[in-house]
Amino acid sequence: MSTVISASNLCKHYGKQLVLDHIDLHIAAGRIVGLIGPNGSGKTTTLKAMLGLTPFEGNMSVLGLDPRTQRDVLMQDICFIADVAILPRWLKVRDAVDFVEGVHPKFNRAKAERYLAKTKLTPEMTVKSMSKGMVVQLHLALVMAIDAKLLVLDEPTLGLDILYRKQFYQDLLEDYFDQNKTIIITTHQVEEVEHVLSDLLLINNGKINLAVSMEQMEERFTEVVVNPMHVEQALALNPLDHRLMFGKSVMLFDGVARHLLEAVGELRQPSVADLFVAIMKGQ
Amino acid sequence: MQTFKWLLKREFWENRGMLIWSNSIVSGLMIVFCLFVAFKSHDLYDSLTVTGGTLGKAQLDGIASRIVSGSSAISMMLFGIVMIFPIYSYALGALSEERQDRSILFWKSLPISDEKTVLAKLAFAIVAFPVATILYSILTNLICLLIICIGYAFHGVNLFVEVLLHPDVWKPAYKLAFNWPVYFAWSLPTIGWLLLMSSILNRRVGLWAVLCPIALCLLIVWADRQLEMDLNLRSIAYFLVGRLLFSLIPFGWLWNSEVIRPTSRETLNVVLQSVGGEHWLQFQHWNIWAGVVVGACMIFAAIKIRRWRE
Repeated sequence: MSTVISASNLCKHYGKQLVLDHIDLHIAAGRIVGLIGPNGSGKTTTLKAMLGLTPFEGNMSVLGLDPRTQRDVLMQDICFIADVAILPRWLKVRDAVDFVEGVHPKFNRAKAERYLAKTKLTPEMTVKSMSKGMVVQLHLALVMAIDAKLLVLDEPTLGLDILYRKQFYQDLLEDYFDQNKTIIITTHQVEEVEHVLSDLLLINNGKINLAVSMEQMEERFTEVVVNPMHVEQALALNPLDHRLMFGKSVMLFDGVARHLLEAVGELRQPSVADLFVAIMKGQ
Repeated sequence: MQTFKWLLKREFWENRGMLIWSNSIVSGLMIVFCLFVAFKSHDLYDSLTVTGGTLGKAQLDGIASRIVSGSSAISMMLFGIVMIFPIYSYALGALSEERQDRSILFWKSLPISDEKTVLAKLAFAIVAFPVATILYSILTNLICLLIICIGYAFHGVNLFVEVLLHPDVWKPAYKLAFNWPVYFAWSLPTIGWLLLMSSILNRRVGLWAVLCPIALCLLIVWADRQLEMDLNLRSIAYFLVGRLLFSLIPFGWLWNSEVIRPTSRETLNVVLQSVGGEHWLQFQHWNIWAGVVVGACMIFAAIKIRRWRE
């Protein structure tokens, strides 16, 4: 499988502060990658580096191109939704579609109009008169009509209500995604996105703490609701995290054999959120 | 070319208001004033009562010429002055407003180069504003002349043909269009400076764009006094403040101290009478070319800065 993004020794300084700390990553084609991390961890900076929006040190190759020097060519194959409210307020729906059609070689007008027909947006509406959710619908309509190889979404559902959020991921997966496209999503709302992801990148303090596919995650990490009698035994197995829930001990283990864990309690699959919190706590 | 055309459309959609509002208001005021002059005031028709009887062709032509040249000149000048404020405002906000409302992230998500974007803004500033000015000026002028003709008709004088077909109705527009390249070359330092400031600063762009050259000038004056360097301060002030900040004003080159040094009234006459080919003589002098080079450098810098700022 070809590599869509590869970075080695990626560093970024804001003044004296090191925001990205020698990051290495590899993202293959056809994957949906979640870049999860707390505020200030470097997720947005990593994305901006990939899109050539910010200078950086180190090596990075996106679709075989260097975002620092070949950005104009690169943008023909990348689509990017930064945040809900970035469409200009004076833009009309009709003008937006016309503009992207005139400017982007890979834009399919029919697709955009099909998607817009399913929404409440009319050609004459301006962004100024739309709710946040409608602005996202417009932006998504434009993006889904572009045949891009890489889609980068930076907190795309921030501030949206639940209806729009659900619809967003539904539309993205059903109408847009195919095996040739790669999607990178950053979000705080881990729960919403974990069923959509194929790969996980956990980032904190400018470093990648975990880079696994979802299958690897299922194999490696196990959560155990520990039988109160076996707590000592369980602690001896070196859990990654230990927390109490309704009086019971819940522990998260990394790479420990199943049969050992079955002896101390009830096994279950950890959610990405729990894994994320556990790894953050461990820092 | 396609992309450039769409970028110009984008500028138009974004700044429709600037082109239309001020021009429409001035247009309205001129028409109202004209209605007043034609129907309420009697100064216009005093000459008719003096001569009495029917007027001959020569007299009609004379009246028509006076009306048309006066009206066209006023119209062109008024709209020319009204153009100044929006064009400065546009240039100052061109690269900073898209950063302020974060829409720059949308524009940068499309395959549009920074060169094309900045050049489209330059083209819009230097073409769209003068074109809108000329169009509004001609249209308003025609309406006003029509009103005056109607006024004269009420007094029994038919001037329609002489006035509306008078060449002076169209000549100013043609001459302005002919001199546009001079305006473009002359204005490059200012427009380059404003775009550069716009690309660097987020807020209060206008304030810094004006303060920096003035502060630098004052610094040089002070240094000259302190260190007794005996510099040509007048020239320095002219280039650093005058050329840098005021070159967007139409016919600003008439204050060019190397070529002409007229008094204000002379200048006004020069502008009104000779909106013709003499302005191309500016190209004989190094001042305008130096401005082109400096302006081009600043625009190049603005492009580079836009590349890395968001």
